Amino acid sequence: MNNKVKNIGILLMASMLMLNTSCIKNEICISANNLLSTELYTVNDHSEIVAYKIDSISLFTIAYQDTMYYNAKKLDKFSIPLADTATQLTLILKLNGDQDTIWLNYRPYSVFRSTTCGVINRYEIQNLSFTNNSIWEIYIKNNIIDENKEINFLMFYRTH
Amino acid sequence: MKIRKSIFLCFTALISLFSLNVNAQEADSSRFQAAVSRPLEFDESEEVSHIAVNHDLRLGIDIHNYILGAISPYRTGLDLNIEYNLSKDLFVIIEGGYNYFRKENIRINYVSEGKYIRLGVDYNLREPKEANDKDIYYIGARLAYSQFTQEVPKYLLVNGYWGNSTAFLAKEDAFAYWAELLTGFKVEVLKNWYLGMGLRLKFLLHRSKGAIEPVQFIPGYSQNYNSAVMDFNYTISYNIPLNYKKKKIAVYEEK
Repeated sequence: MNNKVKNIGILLMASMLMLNTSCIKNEICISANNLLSTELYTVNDHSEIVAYKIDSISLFTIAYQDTMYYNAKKLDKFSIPLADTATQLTLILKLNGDQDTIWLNYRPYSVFRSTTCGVINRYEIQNLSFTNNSIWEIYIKNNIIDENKEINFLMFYRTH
Repeated sequence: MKIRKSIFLCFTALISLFSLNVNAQEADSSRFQAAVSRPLEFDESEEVSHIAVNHDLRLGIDIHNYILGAISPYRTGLDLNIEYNLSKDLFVIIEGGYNYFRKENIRINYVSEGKYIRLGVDYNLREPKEANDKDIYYIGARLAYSQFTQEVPKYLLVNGYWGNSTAFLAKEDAFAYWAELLTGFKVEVLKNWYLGMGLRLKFLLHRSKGAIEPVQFIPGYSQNYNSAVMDFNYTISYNIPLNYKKKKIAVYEEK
């Protein structure tokens, strides 16, 4: 009988050691929005690709009156939010006085995170087109916009 | 005439039956007298073997769900169990139940509900101190299966520029398997009524995956979605003695 009591004690102790596995981890809810990130580049006189800091950029959409960026100075990258209830975005960029338009098609999709942090939207870029006044090329580096915050577009500007 | 004949036949039959019964009783009486004349011998091994095959059926309810439900109004459930002893120390158990879990906050409404079943055995570590002592300290194991649905009827997407919006994730079917190791005790508090308390370690073996991932609540397993969790149970059980027999009352005949 003593051995049996001892066995029960061992079992209980083992159970307590595993107590930490049952604790609900405290979750930290990260940013509410996933943003489309773009880095700006140009080609210098030596035909090298270099980061480009724009003197002045304004960025807004035709669907919404508020500007995303207004006359922002010395930017070499920018991030913009996408609408959760739309699949198209028309962006107007004013770059050092020149204006370009970007048309973007994307697919928003919801990803469940937890009952604490709720649901977050990710976006898949499907295609884009743009005018070529100042923009030379836009390269899609990563077509998924998610919490990893990777650069999605590499935008090449004409400097001359 | 026919009626009279019928009554006679019936009466004759009744008398015959009665006389047979009396003869049997007389035969029993003579055997009993013979038995009484022998010295009384008590075979201890017979008594022990009688305890060993004392099968009982215990029906129980786990009040753990009600305790949790009182703490968290968004959680309800029912957990019933049936226990049958194969031997003095070995019990086979079937447990089953239903759980409903809802979580609401500004970001999300989440609902999970479903049923589960557990099959397993308990092994008693305690020696009974007397013939009717059925208190047990046990260790046991279970295999469990849960079939449930989960859904997000409403969630909020926060968007500082474009404005917030709401949407939903449709109800989806899901299932999960897990194993349990447990220990605990059951003690008789009133005649045939037992209170029990147990500790369960649950190990998730497999679960289905859907759009609502990771799953937030598996009925019968836990609110937690870790691969191993600890849980408690508090049971009230009623013991149905299956081998109940009326005691024979000996009638001594005077010579």
